[in-house]
Amino acid sequence: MENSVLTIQTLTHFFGGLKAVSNFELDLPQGVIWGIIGPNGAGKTTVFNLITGVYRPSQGKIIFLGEDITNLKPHSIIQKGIARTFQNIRLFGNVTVLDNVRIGLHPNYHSSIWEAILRSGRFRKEEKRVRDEAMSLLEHFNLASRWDEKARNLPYGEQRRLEIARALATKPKLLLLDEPAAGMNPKEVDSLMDLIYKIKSEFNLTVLLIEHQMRFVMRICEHIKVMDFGETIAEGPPVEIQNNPQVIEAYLGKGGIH
Amino acid sequence: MKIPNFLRKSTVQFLLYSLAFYLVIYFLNQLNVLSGYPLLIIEISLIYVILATSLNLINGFTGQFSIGHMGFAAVGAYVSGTLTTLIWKLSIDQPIYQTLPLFVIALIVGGIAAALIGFLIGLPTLRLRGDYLAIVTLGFGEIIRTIINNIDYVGGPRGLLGIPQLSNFTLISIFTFLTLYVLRGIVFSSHGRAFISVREDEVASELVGIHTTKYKVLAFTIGAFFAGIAGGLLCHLIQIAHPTQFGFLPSFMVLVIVYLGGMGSLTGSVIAAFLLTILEKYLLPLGLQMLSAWTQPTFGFQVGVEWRMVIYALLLIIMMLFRPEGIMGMKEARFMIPEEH
Repeated sequence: MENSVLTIQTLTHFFGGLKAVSNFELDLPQGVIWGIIGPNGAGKTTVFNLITGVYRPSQGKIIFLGEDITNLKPHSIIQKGIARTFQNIRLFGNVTVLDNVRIGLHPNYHSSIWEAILRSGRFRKEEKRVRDEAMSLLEHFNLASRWDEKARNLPYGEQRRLEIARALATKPKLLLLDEPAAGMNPKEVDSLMDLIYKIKSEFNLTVLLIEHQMRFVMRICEHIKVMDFGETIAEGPPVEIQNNPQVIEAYLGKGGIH
Repeated sequence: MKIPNFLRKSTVQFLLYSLAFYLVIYFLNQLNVLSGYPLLIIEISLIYVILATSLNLINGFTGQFSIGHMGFAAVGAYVSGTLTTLIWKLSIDQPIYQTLPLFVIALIVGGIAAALIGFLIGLPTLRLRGDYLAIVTLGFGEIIRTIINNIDYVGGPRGLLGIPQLSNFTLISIFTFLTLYVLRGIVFSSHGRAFISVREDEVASELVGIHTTKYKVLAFTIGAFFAGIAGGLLCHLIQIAHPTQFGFLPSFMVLVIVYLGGMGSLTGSVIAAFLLTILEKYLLPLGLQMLSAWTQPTFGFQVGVEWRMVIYALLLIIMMLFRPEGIMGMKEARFMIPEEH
């Protein structure tokens, strides 16, 4: 596709003898919010891990902005402009909220270790820039007043927001969110939705997300892919998915609804 | 009284505190209040400060479990000792302007040699974690020791003898100061935060774009460099480099200092280095002597110095029970944290 951000072709991955992902295809256009849903163990997170290079795919090709990133190391993939969050939050717990975001800014940092030792003018200027950028990101996420707190001491909802802030610090073009609404109450889910819309337009992002909360997925995603046992069993706009008998079967079992 | 603004700067404070420490010891020595063995203990403490803070970069800040730190010190000691003693044949009778530059060069060459070895040891850490890495670093320390034992040129198991006493309190102080200055500069910068992110969560670190491999190898290289310098200073202080100085037990002592002071706290390592060196070199022999005076007539055996390992173990157990994060935890004294910009 012309303006596609991410193209995935015949992506397959085995864990030993288990086919975790099978022939996964994706053509993600610029500026959309798409979702991947499916029961537990369907292979959704594995797809994210394959995109970000945590696993090397057994087969298939991943193309990001026209460039083949299939066999790159995770940090190179992130530096090309893909950022992600994790299903179980993975913050740097013992460092401050500010430092979590500053670590995300490190790949765009150019002072050498020698300049750090000598505290050169360029180093000091750059440290100030990193600090200011991190603070303004924190303000976006309503975390600025918490900058000095250790990340592990934040309440759950704020940890989720901080993780997204840290992901955005890497200046991504594509944001992968792994169950961003997990463990949130309906009110928190609503504000999360607003937040995702807001950052999508402000940072000019394309968003691909995994989620279990149907209310959330059906309202926020323009297009949904449904996975079950590694296979893609359906895809289309939310309304279509909701009424797809195969999807209902995957979630509720055969003969669940009559 | 108003404190002038530049004195509030932590780097200025760091400089002043270091200078004050140096001058106090220096004048006490000049007045003959402090000399001989007590001064030697302070000098050795400072060398352990270098060893512990550099190991802290690897273990405390980067979260790797390296337990063969003295192996790097051995490389530095033998390389610099070989240069000064066997190749240049320096002696303290020569004028200082001849020996000092050569000695500093020898120390730095020793540091670089250790850093090269550190780089090579850093490479397997790409694949190893936790206990497995510990075993590799332990094995490395033993390999270095065995190799030295079998090189006749440097004395083999007899050790390298007749090293000129080129280290002195001033020189050791300067190198300790430089080590701390460099390490605090690195730790409190974006690079330092990258090291810490590897400790906190390696996967997450890689997935916010940090080249974790690079930082792990870098931590080993920098840590080994300073350990090499420390080894060079040590053998030119006590005038001998011997394989047993660099075995597992001394490595273990450095490790205890790092954990006692606090993982990820340079200040803690400095405090603990002094505490443990004074304990080991001064209080312990004294205490054991007194203990022996009681056990010898009562139970018929003496409590020898080998009992210090029991004391270390006890110390660690007490620490784990009452203050598992170490003396300083992850905190730093204010003057150890440079201004941000």
